Amino acid sequence: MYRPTYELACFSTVDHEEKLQILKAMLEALVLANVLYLQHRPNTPPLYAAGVPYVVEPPGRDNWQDIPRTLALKEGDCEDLATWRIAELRVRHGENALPHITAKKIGDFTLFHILVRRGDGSIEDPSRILGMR
Amino acid sequence: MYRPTYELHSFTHVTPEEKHEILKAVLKALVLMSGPFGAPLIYVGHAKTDK
Repeated sequence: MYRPTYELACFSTVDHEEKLQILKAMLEALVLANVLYLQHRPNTPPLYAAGVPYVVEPPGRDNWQDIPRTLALKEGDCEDLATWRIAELRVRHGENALPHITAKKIGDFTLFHILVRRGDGSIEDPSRILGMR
Repeated sequence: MYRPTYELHSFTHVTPEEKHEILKAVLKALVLMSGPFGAPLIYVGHAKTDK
């Protein structure tokens, strides 16, 4: 398994809009890996039928899993599930789905959440659909 | 420091050309962070070592 880690010291210095830009670029890389995987493995189950619940990662861990890794672990969090769903919508439904990011300020900490912007502009939250409270 | 890690099991299922496309997408995010010079060149060198 290929496991590159970004070390993003810049994340503490760039502004909020720039963080969103960076996150979107990172998410598109994972979407691309998932799109290519689905093209090679057309029998991959749809996200919502795969038996993969939303599970929050423990503090200090931030793994961005592609589809086969999420299937192997039988769990995923927001970016894992959203990028799977986006790839599925693009490959199987021809839909121009995109990552959608929300941010919540908690003291000095910003909590980002990754969702799906559907082709019609509506927002879908795979994490909530798969059990996030 | 923010340290996200990709876990790309799919890397073993795609063609060399597709790996290249994935790496370029990973690099695009890093280029965005780094500006026009510096880190991306280091990562391109790293990427070349991947089989």
